[in-house]
Amino acid sequence: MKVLYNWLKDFVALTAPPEELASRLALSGTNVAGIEQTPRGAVFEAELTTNRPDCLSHYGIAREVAALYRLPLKPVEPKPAESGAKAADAVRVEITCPDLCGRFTARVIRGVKLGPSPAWLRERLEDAGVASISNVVDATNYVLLELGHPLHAFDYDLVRDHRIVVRRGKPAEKMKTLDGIEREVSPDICMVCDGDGARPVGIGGIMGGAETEIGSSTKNVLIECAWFHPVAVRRAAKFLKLHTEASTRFGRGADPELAEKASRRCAELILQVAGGELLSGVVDVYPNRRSPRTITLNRAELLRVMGADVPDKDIEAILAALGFAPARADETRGAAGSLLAAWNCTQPSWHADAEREIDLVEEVARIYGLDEFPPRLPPARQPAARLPHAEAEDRLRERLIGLGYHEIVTIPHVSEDRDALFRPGGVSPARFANPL
Amino acid sequence: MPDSDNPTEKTLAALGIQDPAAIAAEFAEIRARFDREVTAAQDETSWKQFRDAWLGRKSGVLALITDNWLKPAPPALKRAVGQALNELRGHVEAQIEARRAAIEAAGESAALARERVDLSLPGVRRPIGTHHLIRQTFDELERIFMQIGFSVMDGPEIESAYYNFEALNIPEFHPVRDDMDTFYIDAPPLPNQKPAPGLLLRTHTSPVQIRTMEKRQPPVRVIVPGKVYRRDNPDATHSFMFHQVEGLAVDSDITFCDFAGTIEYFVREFFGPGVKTRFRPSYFPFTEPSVEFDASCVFCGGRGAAASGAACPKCKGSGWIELFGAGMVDPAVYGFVNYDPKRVSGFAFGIGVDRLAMLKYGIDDIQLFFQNDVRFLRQFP
Repeated sequence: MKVLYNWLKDFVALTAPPEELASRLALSGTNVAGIEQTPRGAVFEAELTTNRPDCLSHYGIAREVAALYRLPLKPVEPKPAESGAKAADAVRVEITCPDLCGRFTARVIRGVKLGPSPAWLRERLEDAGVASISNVVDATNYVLLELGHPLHAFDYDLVRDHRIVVRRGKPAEKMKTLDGIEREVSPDICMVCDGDGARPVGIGGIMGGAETEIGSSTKNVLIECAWFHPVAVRRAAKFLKLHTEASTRFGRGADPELAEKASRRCAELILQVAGGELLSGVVDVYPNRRSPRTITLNRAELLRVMGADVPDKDIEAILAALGFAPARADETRGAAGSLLAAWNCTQPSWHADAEREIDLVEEVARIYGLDEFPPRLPPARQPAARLPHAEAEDRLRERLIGLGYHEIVTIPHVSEDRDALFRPGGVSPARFANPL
Repeated sequence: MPDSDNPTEKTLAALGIQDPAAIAAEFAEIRARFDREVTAAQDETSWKQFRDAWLGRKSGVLALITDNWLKPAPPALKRAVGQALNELRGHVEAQIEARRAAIEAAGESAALARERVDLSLPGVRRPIGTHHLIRQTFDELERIFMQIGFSVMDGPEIESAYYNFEALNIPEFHPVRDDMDTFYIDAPPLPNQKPAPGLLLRTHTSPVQIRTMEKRQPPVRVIVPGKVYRRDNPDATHSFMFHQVEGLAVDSDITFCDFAGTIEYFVREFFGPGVKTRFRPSYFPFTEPSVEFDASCVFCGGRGAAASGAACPKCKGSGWIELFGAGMVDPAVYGFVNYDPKRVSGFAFGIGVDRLAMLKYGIDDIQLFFQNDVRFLRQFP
């Protein structure tokens, strides 16, 4: 993923030069494969492991930077102007498969002027490797890169009855995606449909449909910002052999709490670059909203796993910066470095991977710096033994090599006809189910 | 053989020789003939023939002279014949003996020449073979880790999905399972058994961590060398079969500091004392915290620049080379082997052996390890 150094500065008062920042990011879990200097600033090629979908955005990386440099992180609070008319009167949403789609928000903007995006927006998209299409579509892609949450914009007038029904696909159901390809779906796949639910207008979490996409005649926009279940999205993407920026983020686990805010940010941006009038409120269907999990970090556990201590203030600063809201829970608070120290933390909605005490240990350790833990060799308590046949193998090998034989390494796969030459009667060989 | 022209077969009277001067002339002729013929005796056989021709008791030239010239000679000539014969005998015997000695000497030096040993020649070359470079790397890794108490463990190459994935905290539909392309096996059922479901070729040596911990209680300290298989298209850096050494250490008091120290020790032993190391946080489902471990680039000395000044091609200018992934064992894994995660802790690592050998020995193409060309194998005695 391309990360623009200057875009990060929108959220954190970054002063470290790009090379130093790249190094610190790499040493805290965001690997930087390369830095490109462009006229508009440095661009990092960031490599994120699959367990950190929260870092697949400039805001997510800015949060990491804020934790690393102990700088404040600017909160995202979009405040777009709203008109008198209500969104709830203009669009209806229903989810019939909450196991596949856990939230669906919809906003409506009327009277946009479709056209090219302003230069600053186009440039940021280009530097990040995304093509500029039109101001409305670009706004959705901008929010994807900024906040990390995928959105989709529909031409409001093409959505039948201005009604959305989120349901499972039907067997052998087909839909043409906006890349022009007709695709067949399955009942395991979440489909976003319109009208009475008959016509699919999007494959949930993966790609929108061709028939309702934003076009040159679009006047009114319906903004979809939803949350789809990660395992369902991964299975669907594999089944369809269709991998998109959206399917990657939903597939690794997006933040259900962010959906409404991302929708609001997108509306703010569309008003800014395409004009129009935002209907007030948001239609938000959020079945099974989960209350946040509490996790306790004990200093004793951190010491047991890591082998060296981290001071109280660092533990607290790191966990707070990462959004865990640590609160000292034990009676020895006030005694610095107490072995009984414990912090109650709240799992943030964007960090699905951090659910257990051991995960908190990793978060503290990686931001504090893994090289702060001094290396030492542990004592061995048992003698080391070789495999039972090792000595005999060695003797045989040495003898053969002394006689002039070169040892080779072979690949055990053989072709069917060669194996047949040596195969005794009545023996069935093991075959590959999926050879190369 | 009797020769009708041979004067020694006739008496002197028959030859018409009556005075000492004629006798002397005859003897001189015989002596001249002898001198001419003696050089023709070049080898033992012809010498013997020659000797018998002149000194033979019955028909040798001197015997003939004695019988035909000396015995029937008239008294006035006897003394002259006897004296000349003695002179001739002396000459013939000496020359024949000299010839014999010469032949013997020549025979000896010929034999010597034949049997002579040229000590400056190189000895007879007995070619010996070589250990395969992968074997050498395995041996070196075994030595390094056995020195700090790791035993060697073994495991099957054909594995079940349980040991290869699930017990390592990689459930079905986990993203890691998509990245790791797996070969699945259709194994024929054994007699009287149902076909075994979900057999595959192991994609890493990590399953043996589970197999080891299932069979014993902590402390555990093992390395597992072995072949692993991934369904990758082969090229200079990928092979669908390659080699790994897994490591696992679990005890009541193992910490991240112990892990760091062990890895640092290994890198110094394998690459040498000048090499620097660093950890980068990463992610594996079976370790937490997880790290990727880098060593300073052995080609540019960690500077990032090649001798020409351009970015070092091996480390792409970063000065660091990725070595392998590792981390503290994730507590979820202990759940699969009935260890109490609150009472034990440990670390695990998976070293890519082919890659390590390529870095250490400067080899650019992994396929060379499996082509087994002797011209390649020979370079690593």
